[in-house]
Amino acid sequence: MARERPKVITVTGGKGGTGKTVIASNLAALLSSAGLRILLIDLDVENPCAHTLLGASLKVVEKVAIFKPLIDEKTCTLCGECVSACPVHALAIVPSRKVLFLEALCESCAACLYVCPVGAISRGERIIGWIKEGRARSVDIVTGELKPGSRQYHEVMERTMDHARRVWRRYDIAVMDLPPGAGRGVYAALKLSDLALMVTEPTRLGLADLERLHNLAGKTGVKELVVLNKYGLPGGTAVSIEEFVSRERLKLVRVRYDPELARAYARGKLVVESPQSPSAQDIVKLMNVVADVLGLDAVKYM
Amino acid sequence: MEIVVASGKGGTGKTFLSSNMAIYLRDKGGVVAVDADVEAPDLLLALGGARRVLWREEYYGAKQPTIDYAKCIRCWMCVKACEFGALAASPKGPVVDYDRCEGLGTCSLVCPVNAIQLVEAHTGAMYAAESEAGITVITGDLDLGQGASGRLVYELKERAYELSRERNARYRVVDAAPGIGCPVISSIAGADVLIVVVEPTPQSVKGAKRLVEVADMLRVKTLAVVNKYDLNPDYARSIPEMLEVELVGRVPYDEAVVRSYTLMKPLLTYSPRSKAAQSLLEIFSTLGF
Repeated sequence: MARERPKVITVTGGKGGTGKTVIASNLAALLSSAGLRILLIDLDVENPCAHTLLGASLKVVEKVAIFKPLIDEKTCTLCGECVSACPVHALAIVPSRKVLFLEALCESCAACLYVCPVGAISRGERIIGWIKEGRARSVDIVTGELKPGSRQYHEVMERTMDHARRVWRRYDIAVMDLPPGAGRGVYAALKLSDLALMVTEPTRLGLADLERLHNLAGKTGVKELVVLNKYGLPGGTAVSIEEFVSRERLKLVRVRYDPELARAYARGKLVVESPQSPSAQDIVKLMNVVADVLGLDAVKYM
Repeated sequence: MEIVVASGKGGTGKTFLSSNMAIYLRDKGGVVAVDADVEAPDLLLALGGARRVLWREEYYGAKQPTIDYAKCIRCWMCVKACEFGALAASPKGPVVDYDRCEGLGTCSLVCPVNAIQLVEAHTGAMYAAESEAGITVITGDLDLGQGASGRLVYELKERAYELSRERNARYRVVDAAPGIGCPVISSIAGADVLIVVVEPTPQSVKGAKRLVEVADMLRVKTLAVVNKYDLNPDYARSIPEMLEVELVGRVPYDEAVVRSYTLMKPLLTYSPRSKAAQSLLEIFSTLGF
């Protein structure tokens, strides 16, 4: 049966370090072993790690480049049009000498290209990141990576999503692993998704960031499922999260706090390889809830 | 003196370190704390929540093109000129995808009939509050789903600088966002020292390495703190070498830290004798505050 797009699951969480990547990569591996074709999209472009847990090596398939001006000094008449048009002051005139380009300030709007009356500016490119691909455990991986020192993380996220969308009709499910926060890239990813797994932890800060994320998700109409990771964390406060979940009438799956998971993570391994461990059992439960919510008949309940 | 706490990867203990550092510095010459994680601002919460708000300022950090379809001649110059693919043709004229728009105005510049105006858009707020723990915190709060957080962080740091001068506070502590993107670069730029918080996991070290690379480009002195080192002591020992950064101290895993958050009290106030608090005190004294 031809289809336009797979079911899209976004793994997000607001706060950093709640376990987004752990949930995303373990879930992807489980769904894949249940016989589904899985594409894992790592959108945490500032520090992409999902491939390390799956044990995949990646290779660059596309560079992410944006505009920068190339100025031909011979043609340039020093009229200053480009300098006044640049909204971020990345161009300056050294009187009677040349136009100076300050690359660090450039936002790649290309206004200079359009206002130059003598065609002295042409299109150059600046690389701000890469899109990479890999495969492990029958999971195909697309990863966006921001080049250190570049500011444009959002553009790298958008281009990674564009890349993934060009290929994702070949898959049953796309799992997107998001960065922390509740900004523009997270919003764009939520809008593409059928289901958002909001991974949180039993702490005050986990709750605060979950609330923000829930408000953001509410603007998109995506289905929401709260994953309370590290459930039972000594000293933690699961109750306030459970209260929030019931007040907002959200679905909740708990993944128990589990030293086995922490050990697997530190070794760059998947916890579902140790199926007896409490957290692995909980992630299997999570998969079944996800299958229910998305109506995935293909998943044979494990 | 401006100290930035950052990490490359999320959840390694930035807010933990910076909230307690602020408590420590309060009595060592005064401090203004800045929450530069504007997509998930938690520093004020870690310092007990707001006792009173000192001021609040709305932030208009983006410009958005608005299109006058009566004037538009459907030449599609704007659609072709946008470097970010934020404009698409439709029967009524170009339509803006505000998620992709950077607000730089090239569309307006190239429009031959002046049909596109740039309008300032609300993207967040800045406010200063005194926390229950007695620390002045300057916090940014980005509207949900917004961008341009780097500029907001820059503004926050400016406000903190002014406030610290007014009050003769010797220190500013900046709690950065996770990652290495725009807001983090704004956090690090111009700081006196960057403290990278690392956990003994390959994922955290990978993020920290990328962060150190950025700090080197910005020529900011970088030191490392290893958090929860005892979860993997051997790996923790090799971190300074992997990062090529000087280690200023290590903090053990301690349930008291989680409890301190539950009670919304910084660890140094809640449990100053806990082993994690003792390690923090050692670190702060090594830093020479």
